[in-house]
Amino acid sequence: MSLAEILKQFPPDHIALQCVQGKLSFGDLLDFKNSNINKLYGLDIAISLNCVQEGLKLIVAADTICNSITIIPSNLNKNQKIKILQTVSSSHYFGEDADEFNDKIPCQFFKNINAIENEITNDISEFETQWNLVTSGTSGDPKLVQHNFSTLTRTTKSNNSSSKVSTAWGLLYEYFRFAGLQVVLQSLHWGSKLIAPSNTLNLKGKIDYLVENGCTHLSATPTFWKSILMTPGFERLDLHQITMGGEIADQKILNTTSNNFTNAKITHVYASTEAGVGFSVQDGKAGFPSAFLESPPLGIKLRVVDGILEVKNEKMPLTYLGDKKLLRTNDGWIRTADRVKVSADRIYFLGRESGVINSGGNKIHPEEVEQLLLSHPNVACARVYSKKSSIMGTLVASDIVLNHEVIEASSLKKELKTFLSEKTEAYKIPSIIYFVDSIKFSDSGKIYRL
Amino acid sequence: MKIEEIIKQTFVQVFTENNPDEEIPSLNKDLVLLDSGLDSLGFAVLVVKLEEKLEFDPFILSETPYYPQNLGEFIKFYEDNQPK
Repeated sequence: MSLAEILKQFPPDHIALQCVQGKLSFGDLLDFKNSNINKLYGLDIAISLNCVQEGLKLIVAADTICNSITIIPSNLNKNQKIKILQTVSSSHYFGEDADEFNDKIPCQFFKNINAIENEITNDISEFETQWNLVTSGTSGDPKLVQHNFSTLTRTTKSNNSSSKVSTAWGLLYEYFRFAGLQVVLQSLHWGSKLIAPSNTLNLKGKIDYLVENGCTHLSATPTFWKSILMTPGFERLDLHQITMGGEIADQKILNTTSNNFTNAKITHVYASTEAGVGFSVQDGKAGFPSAFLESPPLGIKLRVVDGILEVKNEKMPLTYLGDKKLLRTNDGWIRTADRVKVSADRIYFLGRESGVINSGGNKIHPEEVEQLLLSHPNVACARVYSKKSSIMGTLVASDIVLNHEVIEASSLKKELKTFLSEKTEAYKIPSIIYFVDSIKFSDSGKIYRL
Repeated sequence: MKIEEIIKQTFVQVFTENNPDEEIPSLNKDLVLLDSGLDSLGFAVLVVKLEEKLEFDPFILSETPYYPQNLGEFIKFYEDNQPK
């Protein structure tokens, strides 16, 4: 079923999106699509709109009409965006920052669809659109993963009961990230109202907005759930469904949310960017049942090799775009890089292998941050590593050996953070810095990693 | 030094490292932690630094899962879960 076919199932005046710009009904979304088919037909578009309302309109309009839709996080920098546009050969880019691109690449830049001239096309037939999503997944640079509508909506359950229409999903993720798009598609699938609080609000403001608009379903990382529980007034949220993903959900946070939201069903989701698959666990316990190894959910297969979870999924895309590295091994199994502990009846997640740090749902490569630190004139040697936190799961920490000539070290920690903030994303900046006398190296000359 | 003083001192240390240009909020018991200028990351750093000084983390030790909202509750949570 296409996105438009899903939307047609619901009353046209039913609200699909509530955000700071106003409301959009299911009918509004379909009308926008119908009036723009001629403009979008057969294009390869890239959507990098910060505004969720404009982004959603364009996504719905483009499905089955455009050749491909590439969704680019609006907060990537210009060079990262250009690299993506070149990789996917986009013909039309939509973003509030369209005026900033004057580069000679074969792509036209628009702030919105109005500026596109209406091409009259007589022979319009719908087809399967290719969806390209950006992941911060497995290395420093943004990577593109190819999807189609059925792989994107594989885990979004369709609406079997009419009661779902009265539900309202809150959107705390950015819609242009995989996790956010999953919430958007789930909400549309159910005929729910999607409530998108403005990103300019603080958490208290966002929660107030969700409460005012009757949010019943909410998805966030475990770290984010802890922040919600620390925000006065959170108990006014009358939630029926709580979803956690992006990080390991431990028993404590599962219990705490369950104690505080007694009407809510609590689900935690495991998703592997590498494998393009995910599954959910609904029994309120951390990890997942060992029985999943024998009878896995949703037609995927799971096994544990050398303490690493491996998954198999016939439907997954073969490659990252622009990078010919095959994701699958020859027999179709994918190593997820997630370390697990197998006990009699339960499998628990321990963290990532190969030193990749997962902090608040973001993946950080220590080597990349170390290289950035080393480019600072006062840094002689740097080791970046994960530090366990009872609040955020994992924090990024760094041991730094300073050059001999540095005497005033106290203000240098802040200076280093500012230095990094000009070069990389905020989540990669070590939140704890220790100045040390030496850093341990292995025999092969590599930084010793735990 | 009492736990309360160590917490306040560490709060100021973490706050100034993260927000060097901002005025330190007055550390009364009603101060809402996530409105204090420390975001959830800053708060996580505070808990790690306190563990280094006090050698315990009540968020790990406490049997009952709990997330304090204001500074008074935060200090009490540390006092109540201090290893005997």
